[in-house]
Amino acid sequence: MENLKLELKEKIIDALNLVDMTPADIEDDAPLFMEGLGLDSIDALELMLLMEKNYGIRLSNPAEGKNVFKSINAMAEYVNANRTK
Amino acid sequence: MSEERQWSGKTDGTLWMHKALISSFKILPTGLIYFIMALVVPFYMLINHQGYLAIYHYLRQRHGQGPLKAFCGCFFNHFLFGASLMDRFAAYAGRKFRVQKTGFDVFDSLVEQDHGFIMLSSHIGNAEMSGYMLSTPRKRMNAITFPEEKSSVRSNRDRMLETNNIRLISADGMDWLFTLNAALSDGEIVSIHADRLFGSSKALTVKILGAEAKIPMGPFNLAASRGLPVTASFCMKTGYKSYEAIQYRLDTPEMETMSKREKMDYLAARYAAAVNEILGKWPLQWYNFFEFWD
Repeated sequence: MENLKLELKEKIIDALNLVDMTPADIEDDAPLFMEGLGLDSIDALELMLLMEKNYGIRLSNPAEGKNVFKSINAMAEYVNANRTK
Repeated sequence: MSEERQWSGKTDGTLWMHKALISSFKILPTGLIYFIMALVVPFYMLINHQGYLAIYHYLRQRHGQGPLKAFCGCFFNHFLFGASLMDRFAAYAGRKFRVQKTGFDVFDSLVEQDHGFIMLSSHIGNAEMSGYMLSTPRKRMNAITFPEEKSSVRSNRDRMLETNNIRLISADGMDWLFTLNAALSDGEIVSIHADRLFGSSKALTVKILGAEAKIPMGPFNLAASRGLPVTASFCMKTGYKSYEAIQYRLDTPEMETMSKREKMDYLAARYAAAVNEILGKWPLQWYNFFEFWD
């Protein structure tokens, strides 16, 4: 799971072009949106694409999606349970 | 774009006014309603002083018009905006408009393909009218709207657009992002405004009418990330009961070797070029009633 979290952080930094950040700068349990990493709606769409392209997970249910993107921990748990790639 | 330059997301008018307008169009001639509206326009210009000034500056600085011509242009701009709003209610009441289509060979061919595409609209002309006049039975169109539209507007709009296979997605909270994502994955069309920042401060800088302006990064990021075709769509009022609907294809084969950022900048520049062409022909149908340029 730790490897998956690191992988997610690296992919997020790359997909969102967070040039000044390293994986160590992203806390596992910090919020991704509004506070914490401070992502916005554009970034949310990028994360959905990241999930689909890298893990074969298509997020179309808002109730489910909002929980998935709460933190790196939440994303890793969801990917681990639902990945098809 | 600073907060004061971001659009508030609200439409004017109360619920009863909207319902009264729809009823009026069922019994009164359009010309009479336009005439009454023309009498109201000067008062609206006075009340919405900032909006009037924004159009005045647009005509003076971007089109090089003298003070008197720009002032008169403001009246006609506000009148045309009012007429485009009235046409919306006329459409709700069942009135028909003639539409000439330009550049639709590209649009029609994209509709026939299995993948989705992104259609960029703007607050130029009357984008909503193209939704009422055109339909894409084979491929659903998803139009992103702002959440603060009045309910009478939305319920009438929903009814009419549903018959044309168009779904409205309200950009409220985060739920709409998942609906949008699913729509694109399902090969549908997503129509989104590309000329106003709303919900995100991330922007691209382009040249519109000779001066730098910021437009939202979101729509271009969406297209560049997913490698989807992109069109720019305009619907311009050409007469009393007529419109011209115009489509430009923005993505080109040259984009295949570009980085994501290069693709975004390229698409944004081509969108700006389309806007420039449209505003060169119809300068008075610019409806961003705030100081758009930096």
